[in-house]
Amino acid sequence: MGVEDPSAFSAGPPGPVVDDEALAARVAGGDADAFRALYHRYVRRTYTWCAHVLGPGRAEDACQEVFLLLWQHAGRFDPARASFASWFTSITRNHLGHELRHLRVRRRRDAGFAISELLETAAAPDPDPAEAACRREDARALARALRALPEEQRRVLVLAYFAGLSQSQIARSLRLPAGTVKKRVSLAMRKLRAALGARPAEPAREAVR
Amino acid sequence: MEHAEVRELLGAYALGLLDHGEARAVEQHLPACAECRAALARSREVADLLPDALAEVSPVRVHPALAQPVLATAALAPAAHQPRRLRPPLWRATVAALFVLLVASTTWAIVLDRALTVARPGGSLDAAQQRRALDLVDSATTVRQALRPAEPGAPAYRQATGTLWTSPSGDDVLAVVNHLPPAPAGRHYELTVTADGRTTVAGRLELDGSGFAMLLFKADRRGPMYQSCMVTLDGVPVLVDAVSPAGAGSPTP
Repeated sequence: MGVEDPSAFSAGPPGPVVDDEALAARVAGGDADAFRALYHRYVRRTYTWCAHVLGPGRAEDACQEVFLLLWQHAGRFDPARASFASWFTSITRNHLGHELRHLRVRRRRDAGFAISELLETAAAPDPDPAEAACRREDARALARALRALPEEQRRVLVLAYFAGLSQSQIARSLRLPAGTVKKRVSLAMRKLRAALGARPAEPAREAVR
Repeated sequence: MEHAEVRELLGAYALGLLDHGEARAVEQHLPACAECRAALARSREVADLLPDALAEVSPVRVHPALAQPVLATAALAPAAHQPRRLRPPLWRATVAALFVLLVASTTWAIVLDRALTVARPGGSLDAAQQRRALDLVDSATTVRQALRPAEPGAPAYRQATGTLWTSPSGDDVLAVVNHLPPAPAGRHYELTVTADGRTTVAGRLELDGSGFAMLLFKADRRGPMYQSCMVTLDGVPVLVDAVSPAGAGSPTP
């Protein structure tokens, strides 16, 4: 499988698919093959995230640093508290948040606007029946739902999540009252939850963030 | 805070958007409210999937060479996290971190330098070699040469990559390759360099289980200027730089 293979989330060589949580446990024990498997599953979303938020010049280093954190801290992952995807997302987001603090709010806002525009204008990915019920299909469903959001809701959500702006920074950037920012985010999240709502929810785990 | 108010804030809470007081109010409400806990779990699912949704529509593609320094971490320190062996993992993990930094970024010079001071000798390169490799990779004047498959269409070498670092002021040369298929028994990968019209074998590349190898060697002069460099298997090029002639055909590994 190529490292840029977008099917890396679920595909792999023929045979039983080992879940992320089992791979993470093996990484905690120093298993290089498990680390490689997780790398291939997560590199595309991690690199893409870094590239859109920090720019291509900084994306490679940031992506490498995130995977180094995975290698170093896999022993801290507790599957009883969160899924691996959720834990790794937290690591990535924290790391990017740290990187973003060095950038001016205006630059972060512009990166957020560009992401919001991409989510609106890029061709909506088609559902793939062969991948139903897997993470990849959820991501496609979410991309379609993001595209369908009103621009003002998508922008606020993207500025909060990807650009790491605070409520007050978003309010100032968009010249909105803080209450409106929260209201738009709530509406957007409700619609996105509904888009994924046909599936059974993940088992509730303890709050980890 | 009332249930309905908290419910309204859960999406913003999952995105980390609430101020401290609001977040605290949500956290105080959650233990007693199964409905809000379930709604929050769903909001977090959405939040965790946002980067995947972005990747679905993004034109950004990952360059295969990105894997090289990342996977070197695991390749060079396979026992980095084994429990109950506190001292070896400590230095192995440091060495692992060191190598990722070494080949990944020149912006981490200070971190690297600190890591070196606590790294214990061991692994593929000893402490002196690590310092030489670091000096080489971390220098602003270092020349970095990418190696690509001699025959891009050959399936066995499709993902194979390599990098050669030389310095205009020193004689150290570092080569790193990744994703090479195992050499058949009795056959070996070698790094070949050409300078002044003369081609020499710089050294043998001993792969680990992931197809990764690193070679640090001394050039015959300071500031070597190689006309070409390549990785060969039994003399047949498998990885070449931009100016090397393509090989007569990739050998079957």
